[in-house]
Parts: sequence; C-alpha cells; structure tokens
Amino acid sequence: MTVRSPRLPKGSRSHPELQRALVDWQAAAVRLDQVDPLTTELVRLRCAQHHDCHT
Amino acid sequence: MTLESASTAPVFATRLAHAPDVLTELTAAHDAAVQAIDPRLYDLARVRIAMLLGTQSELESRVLSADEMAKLAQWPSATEFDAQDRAVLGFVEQWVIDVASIDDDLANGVVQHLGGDGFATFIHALLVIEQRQRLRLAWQQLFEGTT
Repeated sequence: MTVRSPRLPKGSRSHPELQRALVDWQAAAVRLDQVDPLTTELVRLRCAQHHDCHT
Repeated sequence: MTLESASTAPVFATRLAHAPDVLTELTAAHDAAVQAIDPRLYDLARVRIAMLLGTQSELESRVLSADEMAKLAQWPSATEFDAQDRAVLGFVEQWVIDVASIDDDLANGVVQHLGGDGFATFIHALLVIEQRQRLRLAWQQLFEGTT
C-alpha cells in the first residue's frame, strides 16, 4: 500500500469558482442514466484503480 | 475566453448534444479553469499534455513564444524555461503518465512556486485540461476513426 504525506499545506484551498464548477460538472455527469449500472461501476472502479483512490 | 483550439468547443457541443447539462457544466469548468490560473501556466500544461497524448488540435499557442513551443519537449535542458516552468512541467508529465505515482518532491516543487492555494487550483485546472483532451481523443477514435 502506498504511503503518502499530505501534499497541500494545511488550509490550502482551490479557486472557489473553479472548485464549484467542478462539483457541478461531476454532479451533472452522475445524473446521467444512459449507461447501465454494471458498466458504470466497472468504469468507476477502474478510474479509482488508475488514480490510486481509496475513497 | 479560451486558450484551447477554436475547434474544440464545437466538438464538445456536438458530442454532448444529448447531455446539455453536462455540456453546460463542463464548459463552465473550462471557463473557470482559464480564469483561475495564469495563462502561461495554463498553456504550458495544455500544450505539453497535447504533445504527450497526441492531441494534434491543441499543438498551437497564443501565449507561448515560437521558441518556447519549439523547445517545450526539451524543457529539462532548454533555457527558455525557468524554475517554476520546470516544476510545473515535471508535475504535468507525471500526472499524464502515471498520476498515482506522483511523489512528494514533484508536488512540493510546485507548492514552492505557486503556494498551497495556487497548487490546489492548478490541480483542478489540470484535471479540466487533461480531461478535455482525453475526451476529444476518445471521440475522434470512436466516431471519426482517427487520433
């Protein structure tokens, strides 16, 4: 398992408008329902693996 | 305002015509990214990513000089790029090649130049820049049979 230290200094924040825009875009993408649940989950897990994302 | 190819927005409009909410929000994220970071920083990342991914449409710049464009692939030794450029370009390359393997030194190198807030903002902008190019390349492969 990869061990990492925090990269962002404590209290660091992204540009608020950009952060809000990304949240809104991700929400819009998640609301799409034209891809079946199994394919959606496969893509989600593959992306998590690629990004080493454990959430 | 946009720094990317004039041909990119119409491609997104066509390919996301069935999902207008996604198109609207993705466009807003792109516009916010352009506004949030320095244009030179934005284009260093955009053009270098285009070189690595083979995004032919994004291999032009209105911000970088002709000399900088010609030497961008040789940035580690080219005199056109300063310490901040090198920190950013090293980070961008690792982001594209293997994002999960970015180490502390690469990240801290960018933080030293941009600060914590600047680094956080740059990461979000990089997400937008890379994603738009990968989407366009995927659409080209799927619908036009070209890369």
